[in-house]
Amino acid sequence: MSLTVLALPLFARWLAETAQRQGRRRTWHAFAPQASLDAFRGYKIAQLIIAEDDTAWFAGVTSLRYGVDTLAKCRRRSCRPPGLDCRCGFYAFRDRSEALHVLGGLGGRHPARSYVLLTVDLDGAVLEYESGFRAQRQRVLRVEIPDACVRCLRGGTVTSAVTFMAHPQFRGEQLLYERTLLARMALPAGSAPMRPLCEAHVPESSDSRKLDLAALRRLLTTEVALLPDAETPFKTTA
Amino acid sequence: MDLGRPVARHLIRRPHEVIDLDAEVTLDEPVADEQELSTETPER
Repeated sequence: MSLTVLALPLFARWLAETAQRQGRRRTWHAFAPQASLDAFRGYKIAQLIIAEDDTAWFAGVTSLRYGVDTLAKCRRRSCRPPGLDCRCGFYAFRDRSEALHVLGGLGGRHPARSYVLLTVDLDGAVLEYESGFRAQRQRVLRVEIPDACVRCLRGGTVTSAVTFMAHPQFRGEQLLYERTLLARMALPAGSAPMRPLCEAHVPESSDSRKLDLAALRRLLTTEVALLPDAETPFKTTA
Repeated sequence: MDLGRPVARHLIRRPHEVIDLDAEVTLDEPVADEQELSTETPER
């Protein structure tokens, strides 16, 4: 009985997904691929994760882990991202303002997660949508960090950051903050999202590592800067 | 992430993927529009 209860919704979901896949494939097949040498510029948000061994990567909204120049992968073996009937690939908005809007929404809802704004170039096979792209390859050109202490944000105030820290606030904290089981497992022990902090919230423990923009640039091997005040969503809404 | 309706499909290649780096280049071959230089002194 319990198995039936579990299996029925899963079967219904599989049926719906199969029907949707056919529709998506038909839609995309109506467009002939246009060859070009000009990559598409896009904007997106991600968490910047830093591990104890000085490796850094991004945990995105749809991809769990990617670097500065990455080829997309799909969980389905037969799928080559961006699959015409799939949801895989690197997503990005066409307009910077849309990515900033998402950054403001998520930052306000989950201040412990601390997202950054990425400027990316997308190439390879690229599917173009009304407001953005889904692509096979992505190159992160610029990382912009909101200049707001995440601990102060939780209290509803906006304070400029003096340093960026990537230390787990307590053991296994990612189990609380990440949305999916896969995302929780993708964050190895000792790694943590980079968080902008003000002087008052810098932890006193000696094992905490402070990073500045130059150190982040070296880690990521790409441009890292603060998000301009006028664009920092928390500052404009405060 | 909802990006709206599909608009177009693209295949974008990076410049190094387009240029054939393994292609042999022979510099000694005469070029079609190249003419031999005349040794004669121009008449005045």
